[in-house]
Amino acid sequence: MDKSLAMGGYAGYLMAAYGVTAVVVVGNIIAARRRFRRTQQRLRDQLGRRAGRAGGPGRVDGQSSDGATIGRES
Amino acid sequence: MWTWFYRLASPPHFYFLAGKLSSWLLIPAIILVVIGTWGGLVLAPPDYQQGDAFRIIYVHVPSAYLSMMVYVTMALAGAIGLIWRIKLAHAVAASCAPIGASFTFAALVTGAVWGKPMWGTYWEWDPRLTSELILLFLYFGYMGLRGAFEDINQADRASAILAIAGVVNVPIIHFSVIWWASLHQGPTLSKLEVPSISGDMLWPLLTMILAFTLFFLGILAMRVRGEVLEREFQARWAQDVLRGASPMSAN
Repeated sequence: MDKSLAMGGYAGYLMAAYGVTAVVVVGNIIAARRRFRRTQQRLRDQLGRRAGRAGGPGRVDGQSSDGATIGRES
Repeated sequence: MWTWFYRLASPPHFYFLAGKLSSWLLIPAIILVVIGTWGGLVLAPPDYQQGDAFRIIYVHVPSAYLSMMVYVTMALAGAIGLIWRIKLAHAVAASCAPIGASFTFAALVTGAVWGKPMWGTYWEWDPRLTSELILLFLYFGYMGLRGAFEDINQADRASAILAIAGVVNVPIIHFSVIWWASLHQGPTLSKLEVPSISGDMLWPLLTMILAFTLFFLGILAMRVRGEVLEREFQARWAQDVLRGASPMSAN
Protein backbone atom coordinates (compact mmCIF):
# COMPACT_ATOMS: atom_id res chain seq x y z
CA MET A 1 0.00 0.00 0.00
CA ASP A 2 2.76 2.45 1.03
CA LYS A 3 4.68 1.44 -2.09
CA SER A 4 1.78 2.25 -4.38
CA LEU A 5 1.18 5.58 -2.62
CA ALA A 6 4.85 6.48 -3.08
CA MET A 7 4.23 6.25 -6.87
CA GLY A 8 7.73 5.00 -7.52
CA GLY A 9 9.23 7.97 -5.65
CA TYR A 10 7.33 10.51 -7.75
CA ALA A 11 4.45 11.13 -5.31
CA GLY A 12 5.70 14.64 -4.46
CA TYR A 13 5.76 15.66 -8.13
CA LEU A 14 2.34 14.12 -8.75
CA MET A 15 0.84 15.85 -5.73
CA ALA A 16 2.30 19.19 -6.83
CA ALA A 17 0.98 18.83 -10.40
CA TYR A 18 -2.48 17.61 -9.41
CA GLY A 19 -2.63 20.15 -6.56
CA VAL A 20 -1.91 23.11 -8.84
CA THR A 21 -4.50 21.87 -11.33
CA ALA A 22 -7.09 21.42 -8.56
CA VAL A 23 -6.42 24.97 -7.35
CA VAL A 24 -6.87 26.29 -10.91
CA VAL A 25 -10.12 24.34 -11.42
CA VAL A 26 -11.66 25.29 -8.06
CA GLY A 27 -10.29 28.84 -8.38
CA ASN A 28 -12.03 29.23 -11.74
CA ILE A 29 -15.38 28.20 -10.27
CA ILE A 30 -15.02 30.50 -7.25
CA ALA A 31 -13.76 33.44 -9.33
CA ALA A 32 -16.55 33.10 -11.92
CA ARG A 33 -19.29 32.86 -9.27
CA ARG A 34 -17.86 35.72 -7.22
CA ARG A 35 -17.48 37.95 -10.27
CA PHE A 36 -21.06 37.28 -11.35
CA ARG A 37 -22.44 38.02 -7.85
CA ARG A 38 -20.36 41.20 -7.54
CA THR A 39 -21.47 42.43 -10.96
CA GLN A 40 -25.09 41.70 -10.07
CA GLN A 41 -24.76 43.51 -6.72
CA ARG A 42 -22.98 46.52 -8.23
CA LEU A 43 -25.59 46.91 -10.97
CA ARG A 44 -28.44 46.51 -8.44
CA ASP A 45 -26.89 49.25 -6.28
CA GLN A 46 -26.55 51.47 -9.35
CA LEU A 47 -30.17 50.81 -10.26
CA GLY A 48 -31.25 51.57 -6.70
CA ARG A 49 -29.36 54.88 -6.67
CA ARG A 50 -31.01 55.88 -9.96
CA ALA A 51 -34.41 54.96 -8.63
CA GLY A 52 -33.73 57.03 -5.51
CA ARG A 53 -32.77 60.07 -7.57
CA ALA A 54 -35.69 59.77 -9.99
CA GLY A 55 -38.23 58.68 -7.41
CA GLY A 56 -39.24 55.89 -9.79
CA PRO A 57 -38.51 52.25 -10.39
CA GLY A 58 -35.05 52.96 -11.79
CA ARG A 59 -35.64 52.50 -15.49
CA VAL A 60 -33.55 54.37 -18.03
CA ASP A 61 -35.86 55.72 -20.66
CA GLY A 62 -34.98 55.94 -24.30
CA GLN A 63 -32.07 53.47 -24.14
CA SER A 64 -33.76 50.20 -23.45
CA SER A 65 -33.91 47.29 -25.86
CA ASP A 66 -36.59 44.65 -25.73
CA GLY A 67 -34.23 41.80 -26.33
CA ALA A 68 -35.38 41.19 -29.89
CA THR A 69 -32.18 42.64 -31.29
CA ILE A 70 -29.10 40.66 -32.18
CA GLY A 71 -27.09 42.83 -29.81
CA ARG A 72 -25.08 44.72 -32.39
CA GLU A 73 -23.02 47.71 -31.46
CA SER A 74 -24.66 51.04 -32.08
CA MET B 1 -30.39 28.12 -39.26
CA TRP B 2 -29.98 31.89 -39.23
CA THR B 3 -33.06 32.26 -37.04
CA TRP B 4 -31.37 30.00 -34.49
CA PHE B 5 -28.15 32.04 -34.76
CA TYR B 6 -29.97 35.34 -34.34
CA ARG B 7 -31.83 33.99 -31.33
CA LEU B 8 -28.60 32.71 -29.76
CA ALA B 9 -26.85 36.03 -30.29
CA SER B 10 -29.68 37.91 -28.60
CA PRO B 11 -28.28 38.93 -25.18
CA PRO B 12 -31.39 38.11 -23.08
CA HIS B 13 -31.80 34.74 -24.76
CA PHE B 14 -28.14 33.92 -24.26
CA TYR B 15 -28.26 35.10 -20.64
CA PHE B 16 -31.14 32.72 -19.91
CA LEU B 17 -29.56 29.82 -21.83
CA ALA B 18 -26.12 30.32 -20.21
CA GLY B 19 -27.68 30.16 -16.76
CA LYS B 20 -28.96 26.67 -17.50
CA LEU B 21 -25.91 25.60 -19.49
CA SER B 22 -23.37 26.39 -16.78
CA SER B 23 -24.71 23.75 -14.37
CA TRP B 24 -25.50 21.25 -17.16
CA LEU B 25 -21.85 21.47 -18.22
CA LEU B 26 -20.09 21.78 -14.87
CA ILE B 27 -21.71 18.77 -13.18
CA PRO B 28 -20.72 16.23 -15.91
CA ALA B 29 -17.30 17.93 -16.12
CA ILE B 30 -16.65 17.32 -12.42
CA ILE B 31 -17.87 13.71 -12.65
CA LEU B 32 -15.56 13.13 -15.63
CA VAL B 33 -12.61 14.76 -13.79
CA VAL B 34 -13.10 12.29 -10.92
CA ILE B 35 -13.31 9.31 -13.33
CA GLY B 36 -10.31 10.52 -15.35
CA THR B 37 -8.21 11.18 -12.24
CA TRP B 38 -9.04 7.74 -10.85
CA GLY B 39 -8.22 6.14 -14.21
CA GLY B 40 -4.98 8.09 -14.54
CA LEU B 41 -3.68 7.71 -11.00
CA VAL B 42 -4.91 4.20 -10.16
CA LEU B 43 -5.99 2.16 -13.19
CA ALA B 44 -3.43 3.13 -15.84
CA PRO B 45 -0.21 1.10 -15.69
CA PRO B 46 3.12 2.90 -15.09
CA ASP B 47 5.07 3.92 -18.18
CA TYR B 48 7.97 1.62 -19.05
CA GLN B 49 10.41 4.56 -19.26
CA GLN B 50 8.99 7.29 -17.01
CA GLY B 51 7.40 5.07 -14.36
CA ASP B 52 4.63 6.75 -12.35
CA ALA B 53 5.85 10.27 -13.20
CA PHE B 54 4.08 9.97 -16.56
CA ARG B 55 0.73 10.28 -14.70
CA ILE B 56 1.25 14.06 -14.75
CA ILE B 57 0.15 13.77 -18.40
CA TYR B 58 -3.48 13.54 -17.19
CA VAL B 59 -3.45 17.12 -15.93
CA HIS B 60 -0.68 18.58 -18.10
CA VAL B 61 -2.04 17.68 -21.56
CA PRO B 62 -5.67 18.76 -20.89
CA SER B 63 -4.39 22.07 -19.42
CA ALA B 64 -2.09 22.68 -22.39
CA TYR B 65 -4.87 21.75 -24.84
CA LEU B 66 -7.28 24.15 -23.11
CA SER B 67 -4.69 26.94 -23.08
CA MET B 68 -4.58 26.82 -26.89
CA MET B 69 -8.25 25.99 -27.52
CA VAL B 70 -9.41 28.88 -25.33
CA TYR B 71 -7.08 31.27 -27.15
CA VAL B 72 -8.44 30.19 -30.55
CA THR B 73 -12.00 30.61 -29.20
CA MET B 74 -11.10 34.08 -27.92
CA ALA B 75 -9.57 35.12 -31.26
CA LEU B 76 -12.53 33.72 -33.23
CA ALA B 77 -15.01 35.48 -30.96
CA GLY B 78 -12.99 38.70 -31.30
CA ALA B 79 -13.02 38.34 -35.11
CA ILE B 80 -16.79 37.72 -35.15
CA GLY B 81 -17.28 40.76 -32.92
CA LEU B 82 -15.12 42.90 -35.21
CA ILE B 83 -16.62 41.72 -38.50
CA TRP B 84 -20.30 41.37 -37.62
CA ARG B 85 -20.26 43.79 -34.68
CA ILE B 86 -21.96 41.31 -32.40
CA LYS B 87 -21.61 42.47 -28.81
CA LEU B 88 -22.12 38.97 -27.45
CA ALA B 89 -19.00 37.81 -29.34
CA HIS B 90 -16.92 40.46 -27.57
CA ALA B 91 -18.41 39.36 -24.23
CA VAL B 92 -17.36 35.78 -25.02
CA ALA B 93 -13.82 36.89 -25.98
CA ALA B 94 -13.45 38.97 -22.81
CA SER B 95 -14.65 36.03 -20.68
CA CYS B 96 -12.21 33.59 -22.30
CA ALA B 97 -9.06 35.46 -21.26
CA PRO B 98 -8.89 34.74 -17.48
CA ILE B 99 -9.86 31.09 -18.03
CA GLY B 100 -7.23 30.64 -20.72
CA ALA B 101 -4.56 32.40 -18.66
CA SER B 102 -5.22 30.18 -15.64
CA PHE B 103 -4.95 26.97 -17.70
CA THR B 104 -1.81 28.22 -19.46
CA PHE B 105 -0.35 28.80 -16.00
CA ALA B 106 -1.40 25.26 -14.99
CA ALA B 107 0.17 23.81 -18.16
CA LEU B 108 3.46 25.62 -17.47
CA VAL B 109 3.60 24.61 -13.80
CA THR B 110 2.60 20.96 -14.36
CA GLY B 111 5.11 20.82 -17.24
CA ALA B 112 7.85 22.21 -15.00
CA VAL B 113 7.00 19.71 -12.25
CA TRP B 114 7.11 16.89 -14.83
CA GLY B 115 10.34 18.23 -16.31
CA LYS B 116 12.30 18.09 -13.07
CA PRO B 117 12.36 14.28 -12.65
CA MET B 118 12.54 13.60 -16.42
CA TRP B 119 14.91 16.29 -17.70
CA GLY B 120 16.63 17.23 -14.43
CA THR B 121 15.38 20.82 -14.63
CA TYR B 122 12.13 22.70 -14.04
CA TRP B 123 12.68 25.07 -16.94
CA GLU B 124 14.53 25.13 -20.24
CA TRP B 125 14.26 27.75 -23.00
CA ASP B 126 12.90 25.07 -25.29
CA PRO B 127 10.65 26.12 -28.26
CA ARG B 128 7.52 24.44 -26.79
CA LEU B 129 8.00 25.89 -23.30
CA THR B 130 8.94 29.34 -24.57
CA SER B 131 5.99 29.59 -26.98
CA GLU B 132 3.63 28.46 -24.20
CA LEU B 133 5.08 31.18 -21.94
CA ILE B 134 4.47 33.70 -24.76
CA LEU B 135 0.85 32.51 -24.81
CA LEU B 136 0.55 33.37 -21.09
CA PHE B 137 1.95 36.85 -21.82
CA LEU B 138 -0.53 37.23 -24.68
CA TYR B 139 -3.38 36.51 -22.26
CA PHE B 140 -1.96 39.03 -19.78
CA GLY B 141 -1.51 41.56 -22.58
CA TYR B 142 -5.10 41.00 -23.73
CA MET B 143 -6.49 41.54 -20.22
CA GLY B 144 -4.22 44.54 -19.63
CA LEU B 145 -5.26 46.12 -22.91
CA ARG B 146 -8.96 45.66 -22.12
CA GLY B 147 -8.48 47.27 -18.73
CA ALA B 148 -6.62 50.24 -20.24
CA PHE B 149 -9.72 51.59 -22.03
CA GLU B 150 -12.58 53.44 -20.38
CA ASP B 151 -14.81 52.93 -23.41
CA ILE B 152 -15.91 49.31 -23.75
CA ASN B 153 -16.29 49.50 -27.55
CA GLN B 154 -12.70 50.68 -27.94
CA ALA B 155 -11.53 47.99 -25.51
CA ASP B 156 -13.42 45.35 -27.53
CA ARG B 157 -11.89 46.43 -30.82
CA ALA B 158 -8.30 46.84 -29.61
CA SER B 159 -8.28 43.56 -27.68
CA ALA B 160 -9.87 41.67 -30.59
CA ILE B 161 -7.06 42.86 -32.89
CA LEU B 162 -4.46 41.71 -30.34
CA ALA B 163 -6.18 38.31 -29.96
CA ILE B 164 -6.30 37.82 -33.75
CA ALA B 165 -2.65 38.83 -34.18
CA GLY B 166 -1.57 36.55 -31.34
CA VAL B 167 -3.32 33.48 -32.73
CA VAL B 168 -0.24 32.87 -34.91
CA ASN B 169 1.45 31.62 -31.72
CA VAL B 170 -0.96 28.66 -31.41
CA PRO B 171 0.33 26.63 -34.41
CA ILE B 172 3.86 27.55 -33.31
CA ILE B 173 3.18 25.94 -29.91
CA HIS B 174 1.60 22.88 -31.50
CA PHE B 175 4.23 22.25 -34.17
CA SER B 176 7.28 23.45 -32.22
CA VAL B 177 8.19 19.87 -31.26
CA ILE B 178 8.15 18.90 -34.95
CA TRP B 179 9.76 22.00 -36.48
CA TRP B 180 12.67 22.33 -34.04
CA ALA B 181 14.91 20.02 -32.03
CA SER B 182 13.12 20.04 -28.72
CA LEU B 183 13.63 18.63 -25.25
CA HIS B 184 9.85 18.27 -25.07
CA GLN B 185 8.42 14.95 -26.27
CA GLY B 186 6.50 14.76 -29.56
CA PRO B 187 2.69 14.91 -29.78
CA THR B 188 0.93 12.11 -27.87
CA LEU B 189 -2.29 12.60 -29.80
CA SER B 190 -2.51 13.56 -33.44
CA LYS B 191 -5.52 13.79 -35.73
CA LEU B 192 -3.72 12.10 -38.58
CA GLU B 193 -1.90 9.29 -36.82
CA VAL B 194 -2.59 6.44 -34.44
CA PRO B 195 -1.97 7.72 -30.85
CA SER B 196 1.50 6.89 -29.51
CA ILE B 197 -0.04 5.74 -26.21
CA SER B 198 -1.66 2.42 -25.31
CA GLY B 199 -5.44 2.13 -24.83
CA ASP B 200 -5.38 1.64 -21.05
CA MET B 201 -3.38 4.85 -20.71
CA LEU B 202 -5.36 6.68 -23.39
CA TRP B 203 -8.93 6.52 -22.08
CA PRO B 204 -8.24 8.48 -18.85
CA LEU B 205 -6.48 11.12 -20.98
CA LEU B 206 -9.41 11.45 -23.37
CA THR B 207 -11.79 11.53 -20.39
CA MET B 208 -9.80 14.37 -18.82
CA ILE B 209 -9.67 16.30 -22.12
CA LEU B 210 -13.46 16.00 -22.44
CA ALA B 211 -13.90 16.98 -18.78
CA PHE B 212 -11.70 20.07 -19.17
CA THR B 213 -13.56 21.07 -22.35
CA LEU B 214 -16.95 20.84 -20.61
CA PHE B 215 -15.49 22.66 -17.61
CA PHE B 216 -14.28 25.51 -19.83
CA LEU B 217 -17.69 25.82 -21.50
CA GLY B 218 -19.45 25.82 -18.11
CA ILE B 219 -17.19 28.50 -16.64
CA LEU B 220 -17.40 30.49 -19.88
CA ALA B 221 -21.21 30.44 -19.71
CA MET B 222 -21.05 31.69 -16.12
CA ARG B 223 -18.63 34.51 -16.96
CA VAL B 224 -20.44 35.58 -20.14
CA ARG B 225 -23.67 36.01 -18.13
CA GLY B 226 -21.98 38.64 -15.96
CA GLU B 227 -20.47 40.35 -19.00
CA VAL B 228 -23.84 40.41 -20.80
CA LEU B 229 -25.64 41.80 -17.76
CA GLU B 230 -23.05 44.56 -17.42
CA ARG B 231 -23.10 45.46 -21.12
CA GLU B 232 -26.92 45.35 -21.29
CA PHE B 233 -27.45 47.30 -18.08
CA GLN B 234 -29.38 50.00 -19.94
CA ALA B 235 -31.77 47.46 -21.45
CA ARG B 236 -35.19 46.85 -19.94
CA TRP B 237 -34.74 43.08 -19.72
CA ALA B 238 -31.45 43.46 -17.77
CA GLN B 239 -33.04 45.88 -15.31
CA ASP B 240 -35.98 43.49 -14.88
CA VAL B 241 -33.53 40.67 -14.16
CA LEU B 242 -31.70 42.81 -11.60
CA ARG B 243 -34.97 43.78 -9.91
CA GLY B 244 -36.04 40.15 -9.82
CA ALA B 245 -39.02 40.99 -12.01
CA SER B 246 -38.03 38.58 -14.76
CA PRO B 247 -38.26 34.77 -14.97
CA MET B 248 -34.54 34.88 -15.84
CA SER B 249 -33.72 36.28 -12.39
CA ALA B 250 -34.19 32.86 -10.85
CA ASN B 251 -31.20 31.48 -12.76
